[in-house]
Amino acid sequence: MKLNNTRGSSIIENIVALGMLALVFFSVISAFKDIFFIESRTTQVVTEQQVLAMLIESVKADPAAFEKNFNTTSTDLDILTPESLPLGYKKDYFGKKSGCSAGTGVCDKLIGYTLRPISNFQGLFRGMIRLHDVAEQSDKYVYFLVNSN
Amino acid sequence: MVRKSLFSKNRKSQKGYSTILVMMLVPVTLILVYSLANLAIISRRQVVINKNLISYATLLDAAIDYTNYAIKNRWCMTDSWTSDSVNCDIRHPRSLERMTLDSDAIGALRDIYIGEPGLAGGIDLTQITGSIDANNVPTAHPLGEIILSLKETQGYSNIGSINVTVRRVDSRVVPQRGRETHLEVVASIVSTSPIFRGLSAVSAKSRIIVHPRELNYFSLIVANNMYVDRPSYGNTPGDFYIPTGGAGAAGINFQSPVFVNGNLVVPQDGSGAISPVRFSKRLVLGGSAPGRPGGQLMTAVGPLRPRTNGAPEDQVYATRTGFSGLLKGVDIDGTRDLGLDVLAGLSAGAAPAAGNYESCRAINRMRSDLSGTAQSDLLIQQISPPVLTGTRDTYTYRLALNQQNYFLDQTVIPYFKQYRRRGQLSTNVGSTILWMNARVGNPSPLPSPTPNPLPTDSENTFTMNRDMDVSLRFADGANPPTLSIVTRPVLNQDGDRSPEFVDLEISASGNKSAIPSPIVLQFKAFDVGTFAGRDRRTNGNGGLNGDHSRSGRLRFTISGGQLTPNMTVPIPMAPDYIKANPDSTSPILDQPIAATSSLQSLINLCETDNINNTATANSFRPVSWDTSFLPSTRFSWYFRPTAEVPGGYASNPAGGPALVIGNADGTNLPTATGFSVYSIAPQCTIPASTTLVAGFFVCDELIIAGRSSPLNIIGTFIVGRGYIDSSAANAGVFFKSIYHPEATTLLRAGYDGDPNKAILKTFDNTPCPAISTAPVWWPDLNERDYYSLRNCNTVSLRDKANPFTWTTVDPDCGIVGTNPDVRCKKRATRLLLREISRESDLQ
Repeated sequence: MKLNNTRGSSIIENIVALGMLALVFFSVISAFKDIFFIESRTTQVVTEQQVLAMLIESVKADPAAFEKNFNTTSTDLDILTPESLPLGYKKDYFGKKSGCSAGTGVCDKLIGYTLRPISNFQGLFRGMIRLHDVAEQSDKYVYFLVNSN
Repeated sequence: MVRKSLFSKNRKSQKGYSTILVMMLVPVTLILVYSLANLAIISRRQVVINKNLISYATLLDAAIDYTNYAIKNRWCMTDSWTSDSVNCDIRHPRSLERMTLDSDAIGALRDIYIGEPGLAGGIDLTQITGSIDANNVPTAHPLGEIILSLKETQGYSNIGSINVTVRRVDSRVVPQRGRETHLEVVASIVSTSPIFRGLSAVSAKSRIIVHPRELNYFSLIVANNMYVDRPSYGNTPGDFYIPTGGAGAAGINFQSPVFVNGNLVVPQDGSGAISPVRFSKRLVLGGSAPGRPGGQLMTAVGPLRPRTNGAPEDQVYATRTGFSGLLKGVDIDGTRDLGLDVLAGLSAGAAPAAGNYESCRAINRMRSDLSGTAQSDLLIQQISPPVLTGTRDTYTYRLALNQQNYFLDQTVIPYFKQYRRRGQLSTNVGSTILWMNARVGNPSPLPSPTPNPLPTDSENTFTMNRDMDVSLRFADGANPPTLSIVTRPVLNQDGDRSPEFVDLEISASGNKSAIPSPIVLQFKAFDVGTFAGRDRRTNGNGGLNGDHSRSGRLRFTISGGQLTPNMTVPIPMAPDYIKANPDSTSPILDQPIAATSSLQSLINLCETDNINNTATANSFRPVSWDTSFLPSTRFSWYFRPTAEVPGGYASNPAGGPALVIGNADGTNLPTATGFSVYSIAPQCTIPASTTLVAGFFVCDELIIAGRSSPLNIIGTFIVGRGYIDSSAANAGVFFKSIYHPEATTLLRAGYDGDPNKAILKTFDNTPCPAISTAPVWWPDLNERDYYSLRNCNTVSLRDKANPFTWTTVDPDCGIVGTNPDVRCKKRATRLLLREISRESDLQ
């Protein structure tokens, strides 16, 4: 067979090349997907930690000034129901949950806390923060201790 | 062949282009993906670290806060860092209280526990350590929930233990000015695997200042509950009422901290009631006791609860709807001041065994003030039946002085002639205790020198000591008629002479019929009010001529050859006494102490430390911290009543007139001059005319009347009950402790701005200068400037009443058992903690 010129590629070459490209493409897509997921989770965790730290630090800055709940007949979970959590956050917003209505209209997470006396340790209070994930309907609880002065 | 560039337009051949391109793209892409993945992993790792930081920091902060709470409550700690309340005393090796002692307390305890084996290393501790095992922490532990939550739900299974060290900071670079101590609290989380950056332990350190929270720190101390939620007043013991209303008015302003032993009851959100009360500084709540809940904020419908669980407008008390007067929040002691309960009559009190104390107090008063024995009488009793033998008739009496008075030996030369023992005439018998005049028959003046034997009718004046025999012979011969006057000392059970007693024996012997009649013996005791035989009491100073006297008179006749008493009122047999002066008609105020115990025993008791059995005259000696003066709270606080009523401390309300508190300038009402101290007044009323009150007051009831002008109160009120009139809120009432920044200015200015009426003045009682002549740090301040500097500042007022430097109304000082003196524990049971820094490895 006479070879007219050496331009072009063989079909096999093209198939191999396309295969490799596809592999690379899918690898990149997959990696980016993971990276974006991790980045998203990271942002969430960072935001969550910042919100928690802010709440705890603000209470600890002047524990005597913060309102305590002296109700001893209810449990923490009776008090901190998801509906009663007054704060919420989503991307670029943290504040009263009613403020989440702008944009997508839903808070990613709802937050609330109580400061209640610890029985047998009058003057010492237990802080409990509840984070309620609206999408996953899951909860996270954070405990901290508050000395009244 | 000329090779063309791969990208050349004139490329002759493109064979292998795709493969080469792919081969170039793949590594580039892989490198990119690898880099991004690495970035994501690092980012992820950073998030975990960030999350760890917050989790570990929360745990470290909790460990420090818990330890600070334990310090504040003076716990003894176990090695697992819980409260060892069962074994907690000053000997405990992990007593946090031993780390907070000031030099006064250390000195007092050293005196008490000298030689105590458990305290051989010293009273104060410099370091205590403990460790909480994270794998074995009970859920009920205040840190338990935090630790377990981290370990079991958040994946921090590597937490091994939390170690805590409390260290006393004694460094020259840390200045110490008063009763404070500096402590350092270090908490560490020890992990079983590296936490991050190769660290297997992270720590946080807190520096705190601990000092006693004295009662003068507060402007108002309420025995039980305070009600600011209702328009009316109650009258419940222990409770204080400030009615609602007066919105927009000047209000009732507590500009210094307030202590409420029970609950503060505030208006319920939405009730419509508006309270005029503002707490500009901390409100401190006490705690509960059986039947008396406390330590809570309440509303009429139950315990206070926030409107929401953390909405911005409901986070702090100062923005609360319904009642926003708690501007600086609320501290909770968690422990009730039980002394306030006794003070207000909520708990039963008991008078201490104050008999010896009162006697010693009377002895001290007798020694220091003649009026203390002004109502003392010379008493007499017959201690045995007369002995009438025919040849000798004898009557034996006992003379006694009451009211802690006693026969005081003194030399009376040259005022009286004196007889030596056994009847020899003399001019000097040394110390004497009794002046005597024996008038026999109808005497005429004796010639000089005095004849011996005496003329039949004669009058003789002489002095006697405690053990003396004076014989008056009226004729010579073998059986001379003789009148004998003999004194004998009285011994107590210790064999000591009882100074307030002397026995007197009158006898007639020999030819008794030859003794002229009547025989009148007048005598006068030399007591603590006489010097060299002369009475130093005057009409206005000790009642020399009053109905009480240290004089006496006996009258006898010789009838049928027998000596016979001839007195208007017969001398009773022991144990009864009558006054030796038959002309005195007032009742005897008190009986002398039984001769066997005697005043001398009491004096010895008053001057002996029966703990160490050593003689001492010190007041306020230390006493064991196990001692409780709680039942006798009212006794300990009854140190300046409006009028001293015997046993008045035991009554509630206290005895004595009510106190109307005027402007603190001494010109308005006589009951309040300068910086007043009254404790306990049955009722304190601040009338509308008063605009400045300055002082420390303990009132069973406090009433602030309606007014149209503002009222400034500087100092501390401890109140059993009371109220503020609703109209006072319009004009304004301002409570300030002596430490309030404005207190100095107000007290220097005087109530109406006249510096001459000021309470704080210089060393020579002149108005304080606006600017001190020398700064307080001046190295060579002279005595005069120092005195003025101190007197012109309110800190000098702290010395006005020691009980207001105690940390609770539950007394620090009182009477132990039957001890005659007041003793003090010198113990601070309420502490203030000031955190000055907190640092962490995680910052």
